[in-house]
Amino acid sequence: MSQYGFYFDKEKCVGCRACEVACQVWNDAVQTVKWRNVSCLARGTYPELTGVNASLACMHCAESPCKKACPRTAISKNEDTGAVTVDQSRCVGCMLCLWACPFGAPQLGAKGRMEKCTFCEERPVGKIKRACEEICPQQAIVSGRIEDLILHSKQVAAERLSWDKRIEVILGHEEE
Amino acid sequence: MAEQTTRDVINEIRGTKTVPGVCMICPWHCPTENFVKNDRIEYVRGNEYAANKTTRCVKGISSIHSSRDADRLLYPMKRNSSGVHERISWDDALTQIAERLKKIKDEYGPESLCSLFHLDSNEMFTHQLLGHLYGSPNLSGHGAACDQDRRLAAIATFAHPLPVKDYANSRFVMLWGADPFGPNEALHENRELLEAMKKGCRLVVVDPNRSRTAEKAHIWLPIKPGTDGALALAIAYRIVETESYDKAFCDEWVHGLDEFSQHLLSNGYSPEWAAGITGISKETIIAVADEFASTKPALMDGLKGLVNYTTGLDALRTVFALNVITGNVDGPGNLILKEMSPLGFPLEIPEEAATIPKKPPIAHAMGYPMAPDLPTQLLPKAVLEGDPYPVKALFFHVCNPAMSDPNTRLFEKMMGAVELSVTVDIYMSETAQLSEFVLPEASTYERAEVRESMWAGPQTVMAQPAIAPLGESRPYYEIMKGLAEKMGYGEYFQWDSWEDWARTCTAYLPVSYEELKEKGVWEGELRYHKYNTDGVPTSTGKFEIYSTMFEELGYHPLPVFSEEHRVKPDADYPFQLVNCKMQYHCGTHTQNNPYLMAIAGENWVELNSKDARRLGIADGDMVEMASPHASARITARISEAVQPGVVRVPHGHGFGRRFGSIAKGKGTHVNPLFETRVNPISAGISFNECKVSIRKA
Amino acid sequence: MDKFTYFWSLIIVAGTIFLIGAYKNVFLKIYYIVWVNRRLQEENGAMEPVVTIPELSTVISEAVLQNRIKNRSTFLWSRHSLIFFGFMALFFFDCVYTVFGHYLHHYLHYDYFVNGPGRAFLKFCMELSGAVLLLGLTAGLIHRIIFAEQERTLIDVKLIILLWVVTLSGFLTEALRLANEPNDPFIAYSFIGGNLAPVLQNMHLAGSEAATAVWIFHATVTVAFFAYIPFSKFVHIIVAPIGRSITQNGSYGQMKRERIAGGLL
Repeated sequence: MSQYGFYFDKEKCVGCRACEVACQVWNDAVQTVKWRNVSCLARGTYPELTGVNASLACMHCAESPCKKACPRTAISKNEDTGAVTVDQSRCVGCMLCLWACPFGAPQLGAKGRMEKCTFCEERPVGKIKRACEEICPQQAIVSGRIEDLILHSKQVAAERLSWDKRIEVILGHEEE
Repeated sequence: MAEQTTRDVINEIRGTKTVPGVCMICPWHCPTENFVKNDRIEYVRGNEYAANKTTRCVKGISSIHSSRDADRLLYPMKRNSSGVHERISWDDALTQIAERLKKIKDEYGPESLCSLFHLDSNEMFTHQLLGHLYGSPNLSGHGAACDQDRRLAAIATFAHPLPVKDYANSRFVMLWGADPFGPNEALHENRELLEAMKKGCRLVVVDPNRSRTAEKAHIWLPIKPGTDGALALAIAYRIVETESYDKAFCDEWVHGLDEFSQHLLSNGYSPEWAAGITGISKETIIAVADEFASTKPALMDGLKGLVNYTTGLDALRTVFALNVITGNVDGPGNLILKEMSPLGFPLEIPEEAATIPKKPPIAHAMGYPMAPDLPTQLLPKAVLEGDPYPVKALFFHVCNPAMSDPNTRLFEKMMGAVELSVTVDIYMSETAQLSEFVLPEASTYERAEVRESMWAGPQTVMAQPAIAPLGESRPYYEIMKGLAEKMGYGEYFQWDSWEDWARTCTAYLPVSYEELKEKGVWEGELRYHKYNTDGVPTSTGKFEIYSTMFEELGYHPLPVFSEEHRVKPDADYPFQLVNCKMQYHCGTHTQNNPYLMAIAGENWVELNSKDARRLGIADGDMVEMASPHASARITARISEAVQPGVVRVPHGHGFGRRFGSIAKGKGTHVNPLFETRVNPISAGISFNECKVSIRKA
Repeated sequence: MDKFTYFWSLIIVAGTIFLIGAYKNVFLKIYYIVWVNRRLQEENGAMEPVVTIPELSTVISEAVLQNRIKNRSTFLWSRHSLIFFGFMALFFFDCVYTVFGHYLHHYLHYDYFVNGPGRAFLKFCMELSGAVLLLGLTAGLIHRIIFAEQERTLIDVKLIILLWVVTLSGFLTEALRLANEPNDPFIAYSFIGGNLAPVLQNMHLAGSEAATAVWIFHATVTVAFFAYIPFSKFVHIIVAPIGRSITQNGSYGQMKRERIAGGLL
């Protein structure tokens, strides 16, 4: 069994929400509530401001709290991709999974059942991108096998070190 | 077996067919792919063969709704004597329009027709029918409300109307009043800029408000509104003073460096001077100037944040001059003087059939000889007073000046005064409601288009109809063909399907028609430093920071900083109103989209928490915003991103009459607050020259 | 064996099953969720905690009025409300009747509910709430049968039938009891059972053996229903009010996402 997941680059996300709509458009037939949500936060006072945009959907955790929390065992994990999905015919919409989820991913749909990112289950993994990843203008979302994503993030960090020789960057505690 | 493309995979999953298209949401027109099944668009994404790859912006992906929108215009309509639009047949509509056009041409001459459009390559047919054949010189895009100053500054400096950006190779990018990460420009540029920043490219953003781009910037210069020109001149002063410009490049390729240097030094455009005007410290100006001069390749560009003030033209001329004197022109990582693909006109019109207008374009006659586009906000006055010459017929194609131009009331008056008004649109826009004839156009999913893309090199996009037009709507070229037949020009509009004229257009491309049709794009070679081989088409053959064109026409050949035409806040109207774009909407034609309206269902006025506290306004309160011309009720939002003393309103909402079951009645139309103020040289609309007062409603 | 002895043995068995189920499918789940959330907070000490105490208005809106169902469909909400309020009332009055009407008078001299007006009141309320419940269930059953295709994944027809049988057998039991006790002074208050009794008598189905058999059947399915709650979709009766109240109409998810975003800041 392999585990797939999302890599998200906050430095690239501009909070445009194209991923939210891409998810809605591709999953039009089964989605009644946004599975992917962008949170835009800003702190400080003018002109000393910091802000961050974060596009969050289900992380498809290896040890999924939602799966363990479900009283109906409606949540299962795909053997091949590690994708965590909700069986609508078992779900009763009690929302315990949302209570358990560290990322606030499962949402109550219009039909009174929990819905969440299915990792675009129709799209074969490894062959094409997920809908949100395909559409993201900045390519801030990357999906793939967890091992590959970890490698990817290391490469991104290494690339930074290749040109930015400031001591705080090398030591890994840079404050902007 | 050929390798399976990602298109094939999606087609396999969904049982669809890929039809290449083009996004019609904003003027950057990214190439797209539409996935169709049973005459329904199932999914859309960017064209994987184009620079934007498979990506779309939020408005682009949401625009799938316009292929299904029940609020679309479905049949031609004509306004009856009691002011109500009634359905008529295509044949009647086109016959009547053609007759009226003939009468107007006979009585007043072909110049009395003005055709305004957004930006659509099918406008080739407007140019051929209403320009070449009918003879009107007044065919114009929406530039006056957009990049008028930038275009004129670029023509004066580079003799090129639209320099684009090669972020991918840049090491230093400085953006003035431009927010590509917010309301988007070309999508591939966004991605390339962020990737360049990952590789160490520095980003400096000049913007009074903390825009999406300012959020990502290494240095954000929160400048006082409208004073960008002073900052740019001070940066130039520092570069000239320290002689850190590119001497070799200037000697060979720049006209007027000595005059420019003399001008800066003698007028005292120093960093200390600018610090007092812009609110940016002298040290910061010097640091940015030094970094810009010493980092190569670099690029500087500006857009609406500058052109929305009367100071914008000279600010942009200075910005372009800075690119020029540091040798940052048309190289990797610079502003690129985009090369076009060799596209032809779709129709062959013999010279003897063309009508040569006797009067100049109306902008020239109004006293703006260099205006690249028709200044639409000056048109109502010209029409009502018949000055400089009578305008009797107005064509609007997918543009909505009733919502987008300042001084809405005057526009409405003009629509009542003309003899013929025709709007071609996919929606019953506010302008369409004021027009006599309303013709339904097929949306971008239902029509073909052959056009140049906004990529830095030559690139052709060929969009193809993916589904049948909704109702009786027709593609624009079919509407023009029908009108041409009624006007007696039918012999030039001979084709059976769009493919006939598309073949004519693309005949000179070094790619087979079939391959272009299959992929939807053709990409040429991106050449750098084209001036080395092709020269610079200015009158001096060099990049002109001392503009001979301006000099000849009696304007100052060098950029100055003058606040003569500015409107600044005062005691009665203490806030500068900044008209911005919303990240989740584009112009006035995405407000009927449920995806986008779910994200942002109305517009609002943003003000700083300090101002809000003083006025006792809480987030979400309804406020009364008044300018000397009009007032409007609008929801307030408290934001730390806005400069104290500035209020920001995204425009485009507030459809009040009939447009759209989703759009109608949401948000506030603020354009009546703006006065008719333009740049005195380019005649670009100065939206932000507006002072307002705010109180709790 | 006395039928009450059978009944109480059944309750002990079913109660045990119920408790095992409730422990496994409800208590352990909630315990785990609380543990996970506490651990998350400990790991990210600097973050603000996510509020887990629901507001009273949320509880009323979610657990009592079930406004979220109303937003989906008014008819669905009407059906569900009939079942919810009917069931809750019936359960409550049945408990009161069992305690005061059957057992408490053995230990205390308190017979208001045994042969006083209290009995009439309870009988009437139980009949009424049972009728409401049956009405809701019947409407639900018919709707589920008509719209079988669309509703298949959402509504489990087996469960509605089970509850429907429980309710209907309750009325039959009461009717047969009254048929065998025609002198019950409160017969008029059992407005359904009382009117059903002569009908059954005329059909010669009202023997005391039949009454006992139906009583035992009713007791068995009712107890089975309770035992089945934690193992079936009926579990929503316990967990949905808790989960929905705590996640506060979904805004809990937004709070968590913003907390994650804040952590990236």
